[in-house]
Amino acid sequence: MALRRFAVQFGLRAQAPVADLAASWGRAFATVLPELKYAKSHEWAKPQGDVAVVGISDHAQGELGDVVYVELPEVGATVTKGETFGVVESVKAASDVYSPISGEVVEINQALVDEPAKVNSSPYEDRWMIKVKLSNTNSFSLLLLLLLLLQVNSSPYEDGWMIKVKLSNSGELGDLLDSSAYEAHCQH
Amino acid sequence: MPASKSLRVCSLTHKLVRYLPSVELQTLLEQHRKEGTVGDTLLVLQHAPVFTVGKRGSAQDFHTDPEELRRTGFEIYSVPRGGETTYHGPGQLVAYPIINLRQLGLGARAFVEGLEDAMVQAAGCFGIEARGRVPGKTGVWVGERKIGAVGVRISHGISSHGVALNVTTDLSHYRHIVPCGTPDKEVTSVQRELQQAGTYFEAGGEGGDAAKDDALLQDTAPNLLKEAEQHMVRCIAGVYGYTDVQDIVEEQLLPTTAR
Repeated sequence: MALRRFAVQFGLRAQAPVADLAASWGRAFATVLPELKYAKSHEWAKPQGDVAVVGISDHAQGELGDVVYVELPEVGATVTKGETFGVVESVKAASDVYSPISGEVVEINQALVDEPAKVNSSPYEDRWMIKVKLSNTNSFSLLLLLLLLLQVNSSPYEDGWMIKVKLSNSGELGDLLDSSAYEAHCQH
Repeated sequence: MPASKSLRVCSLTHKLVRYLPSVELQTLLEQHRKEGTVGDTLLVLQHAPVFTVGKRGSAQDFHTDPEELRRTGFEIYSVPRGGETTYHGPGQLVAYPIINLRQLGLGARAFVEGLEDAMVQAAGCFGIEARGRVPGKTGVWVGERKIGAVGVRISHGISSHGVALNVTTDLSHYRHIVPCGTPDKEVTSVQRELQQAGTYFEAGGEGGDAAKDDALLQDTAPNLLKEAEQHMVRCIAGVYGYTDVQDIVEEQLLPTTAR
């Protein structure tokens, strides 16, 4: 998506084939991080103890276009797997975003509400949306092991979230796609 | 060989549709589309005069006090669509595609670009050179004048709300608002562009009689709208690759059990 912005900025947009190529290049190389779990609707979840951090993927922000508005739930709200937790607007399209897991919202990323363009600007970095508290942690220990093995540098992620949710059923994490399944899904 | 893709088109342009019932209808269609009990559907209509305020719109968008506008017969509603505040009314062609974007493999941007392309093509059928895909300025423009507006909602992969193309719209109503959040831009219509290009009337050659022209305008306005409708439907079906377009009547919109 950085290439697309370059094209736009330098007026190359008018030359559609060049801009399209740049956009395709950006989309072809959309970042999929191996340590996250993904929903088919292009949201990601990252476990952090009994809380899951939620945001939308790089593929999603590329498909949306420049984000101008982000609507997130209140802290304390309940989110349900597969149901809308917020709205993101781009190109005059208000698109629902869906929670990949269920639980209670413990934190929202106000920085995204204040500066919606952050949803596009940095893959995962400032793009987390909510944090959701997990209710049981059966899947957690396996994921923790995986994270340690992958030696995740957590700081780029920490800023890229939308909401943090206290999970009510961490088993739901097992229903999500891992990064390679998600990449395959995006290629469709 | 691409799989056959079917679009149901329901034209309601023969009457003025009030805004709220159209939202209720869209909600029902959206639900049915999500469940798969109806196929991709395009509603084409004209609204009774109304100002609608999208997710990013606000009271700040009104130059005239909303209460006064309501008193003079305009309706005003907040709507869960993208965009700010706009006007809908007679002479304006409104198209609401209730389609499954996930099935078509379309993200929000690609979908909106398709709608803009369709409006550009439809304007082109009148010889009007319009453009869409303008970074940061969603909508369809003739020069710096806005001829078509976009404001959609995408929920569970299903689109609703859509586009509005000014054909013979009374553009004076736009003075009550900041249209689509662009205070310094003019709005225009197919009719206005054709008049200004001097191509609206047959080259009778004799310089034209203003009163006669106006009378002709009144006579041909409904035809202009009908023509625009035909172009829009064809262009929308075309940009998304629908191979089969089926005209349906209002009674056929929803599955029988829903009525």
